Amino acid sequence: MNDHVLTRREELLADGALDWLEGGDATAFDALLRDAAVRADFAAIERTAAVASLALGEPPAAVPADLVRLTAKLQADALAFFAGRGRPDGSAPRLVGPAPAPEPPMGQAQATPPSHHVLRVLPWLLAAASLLILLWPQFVGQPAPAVARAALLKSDAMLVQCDLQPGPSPRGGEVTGDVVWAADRQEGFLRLRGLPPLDPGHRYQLWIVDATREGPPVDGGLLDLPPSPGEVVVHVASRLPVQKAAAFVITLEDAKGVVVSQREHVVAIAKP
Amino acid sequence: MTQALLTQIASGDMAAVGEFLRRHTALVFGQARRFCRNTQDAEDAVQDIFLEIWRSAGRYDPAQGSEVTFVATIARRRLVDRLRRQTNRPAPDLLEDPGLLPAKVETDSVDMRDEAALAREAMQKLRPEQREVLELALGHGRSHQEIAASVGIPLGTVKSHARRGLIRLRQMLGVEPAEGGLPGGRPASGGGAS
Repeated sequence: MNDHVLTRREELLADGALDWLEGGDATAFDALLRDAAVRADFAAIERTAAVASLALGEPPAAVPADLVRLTAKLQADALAFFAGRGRPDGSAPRLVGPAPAPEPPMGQAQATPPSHHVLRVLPWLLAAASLLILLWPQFVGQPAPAVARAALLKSDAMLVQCDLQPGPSPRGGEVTGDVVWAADRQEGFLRLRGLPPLDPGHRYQLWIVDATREGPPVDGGLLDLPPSPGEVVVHVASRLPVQKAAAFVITLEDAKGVVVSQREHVVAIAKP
Repeated sequence: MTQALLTQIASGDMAAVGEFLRRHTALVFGQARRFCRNTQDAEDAVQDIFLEIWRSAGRYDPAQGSEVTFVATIARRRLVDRLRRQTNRPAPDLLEDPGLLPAKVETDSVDMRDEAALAREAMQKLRPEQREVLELALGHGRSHQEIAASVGIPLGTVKSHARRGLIRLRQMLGVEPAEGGLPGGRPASGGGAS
């Protein structure tokens, strides 16, 4: 194989791992993958992409309570999954842990009508339900972002704080609030009050202006705002490293958000 | 060296599920949070990812790669697939058998933090423009068009940076194909989301 072909192959495999294949390239890529050695090569590049994704950010530090709640859901999912399916090898699951469930006698499931299948699964569903009940306080009593914000304010993080002012667009109403941003942690919190609720086709989106970066502001994400009025605290994590936050801007965008805002509706601005 | 739990889970040891979730939920949630626009979407995605992991647990082979890479690979695929469906962009089909994916890894025994640290170190050795493009592509599932618009560089340059960065990363991380290639096949990339 000559160098040119090898380069083309590497390009196609890299594009495939990045999910960037289009048109003729996709066809050429498919043709390449008919070769087992190329498939192995592609698997190695895809694995590289997965490992690299591990390097792109620590697990979010500000949401331990969310993780506890989520883990409970996942454990319940797993119990329901394995209960409904049996073990991957076809035999019944075996629970060792806080919610033991009796294993049905062997053979019963094979010779029983559908109603008995429900009985076989029932202990597992009960186990999942028990787990949810056990962890329910963490579902309903999870520390709000406001608590995490307060913790950040008490920490020794390098903080930037600034008040939020209404932007030029009247669609922001009488919004007030503030931003606290920890440059060393690359996260922060937005505290808002008075932003009007939106129709389902639109969302508010946050942008972070980095004084050291040329080009458009860094995407700070779409805002999850409850429909009810009142103060809301939103966790902020930028899509790219922010060296020096010079401003925080909230715009009104389509519900899916945008990569670059046209800034037609700037509803709020905060400048340190 | 951390003990692989997927083989225990595959054999029906539900106690291993709790420990597995303790090890990997933060990793997967971190990945999902970067791909998804809000926390609720991220949580939905994480549930979807773990269901796929349970389905695939029986195919995990510790000899072919670390557990964390297996998890990260499934997570990334599901997140990319989810993103493509949400944005109506064509998506390549996913590999049917994640167990076939991992190539032979010399650092088989490292845990997630070690593996992430190695990858982070390698990322730092990339040229800044390559690193920035790969951060957007791998970290957030951005298309090359979106990156070009966001960073303000031509499409071809985006692709070039990403390809070179990824190939360079592979070299630095020493990721080699498994001997004799991988059994089974990969579905055609031809388009529609799976």
